[in-house]
Amino acid sequence: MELAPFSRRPDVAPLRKTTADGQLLKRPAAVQRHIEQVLTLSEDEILRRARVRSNEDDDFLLSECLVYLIRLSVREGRRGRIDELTPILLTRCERSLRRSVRGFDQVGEEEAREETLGRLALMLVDPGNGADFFEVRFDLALKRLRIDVCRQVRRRRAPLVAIDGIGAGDDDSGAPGLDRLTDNIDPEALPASLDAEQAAFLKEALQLLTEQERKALVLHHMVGVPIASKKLGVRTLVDILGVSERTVRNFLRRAERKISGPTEDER
Amino acid sequence: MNNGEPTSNKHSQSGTPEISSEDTSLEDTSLDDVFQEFLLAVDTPDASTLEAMVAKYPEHAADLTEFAVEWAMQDMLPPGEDFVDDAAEAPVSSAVAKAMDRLHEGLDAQAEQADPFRKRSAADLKNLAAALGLDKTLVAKLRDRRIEASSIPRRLTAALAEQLEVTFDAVRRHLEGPPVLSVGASFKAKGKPEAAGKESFAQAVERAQLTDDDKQRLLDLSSDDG
Repeated sequence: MELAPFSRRPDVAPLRKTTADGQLLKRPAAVQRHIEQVLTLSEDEILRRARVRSNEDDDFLLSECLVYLIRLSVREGRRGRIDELTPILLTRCERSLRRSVRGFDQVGEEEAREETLGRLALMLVDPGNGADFFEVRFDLALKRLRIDVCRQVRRRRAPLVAIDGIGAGDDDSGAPGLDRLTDNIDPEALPASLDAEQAAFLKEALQLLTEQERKALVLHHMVGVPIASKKLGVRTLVDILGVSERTVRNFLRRAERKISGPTEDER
Repeated sequence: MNNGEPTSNKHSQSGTPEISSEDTSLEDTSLDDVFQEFLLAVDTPDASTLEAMVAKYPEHAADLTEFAVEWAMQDMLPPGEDFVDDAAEAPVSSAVAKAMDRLHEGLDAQAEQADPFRKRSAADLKNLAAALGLDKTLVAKLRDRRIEASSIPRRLTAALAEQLEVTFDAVRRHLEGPPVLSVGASFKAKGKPEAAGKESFAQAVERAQLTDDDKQRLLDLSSDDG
């Protein structure tokens, strides 16, 4: 048996999730060392350090470590410790989510944040191995959870009907405004290149798109999926959306109009 | 680690993303695992990586595509405003409070689940005994709730929970229930069988077929309970 109070338990329970080649998922060495060192501290000291907010502070506890301590507390049935540590981790996550949950109105953002935190809380107390990756790369695991929640919230809130055929012509040129916005996108740099007005407009415009329009726009302009292709095996928008090439182009054109904003004449 | 965005891009020299079946994919390919693998493969979603992922997990094609759309969109949009919160001991937000409510509901629901020993074969129980350093009789007594729950060391309860892959509370709730008839009791008894009373953990250990050292080790577990 391995269980003991934190201060008497320098050993760290291994993760249980296995990789495809049958190897146990492992924490990075730095995380493992960090947890081992933290487990030698008194519970009061652990709690004090858990409350340190700046990750530049030497006493800052890695989130991977906090996850380990919370899951250990769940296994040991120590609700008091769970109630002390979990809000600290969730508050950290909420601060991150306030910056990273994007593209919704205020209600949607709150919904996405709350759902992400709620699902994380449930994963932490689940006795299975679903939260193991949070002990390996917390930021990446949280990002996966956030994106997954956001797509579900967006699906619930998306306009339901795309009225096909409106503006149906064969104008394949796309909207020049969008080209300026999305050509050669460097997703890391793009946010900085948008001024506040553009960012606000883009955020609002994305909410006006139907699900099909949004999918077509993002997959084509940001992910690089072609509209159609004569090459065998190439996955195209026609395949993904299950509509004709002409309809795909209509989706794109309408999305591009909405997102390009008013023309000079319309202002 | 938690101090930055992912940095481990995996592109071959030709620029084609490598979706290896060995290094990142996980054994039980739940949707969460598949999404995690996608995120590990590249910093930002691109058509070739998406195509490789869909080829590998065709059953998740629609979800992967939708995930890529959301990922690309979230990355492109500017970040939200910084959350200014300088109070050293600020109360938790309503979002965190709601999440904690869900956490407590989750813990309670797990504790109320059926018998954690349910569907455990004789071989499972034998393995459990070996893993915990108990004998089969002690495991059977724990399973049948024939030991006073309050006398069972927390560390043993926690170890049981870990081995049975349920929560501590689920095991404790089980142990606190009324004792049950041991299997076969109804065939051995002449009269109507009655559930045996509970004995203390110390008594159960004393009667177990263990070495003196092992017995002492088990009894010492109680010293942590304070």
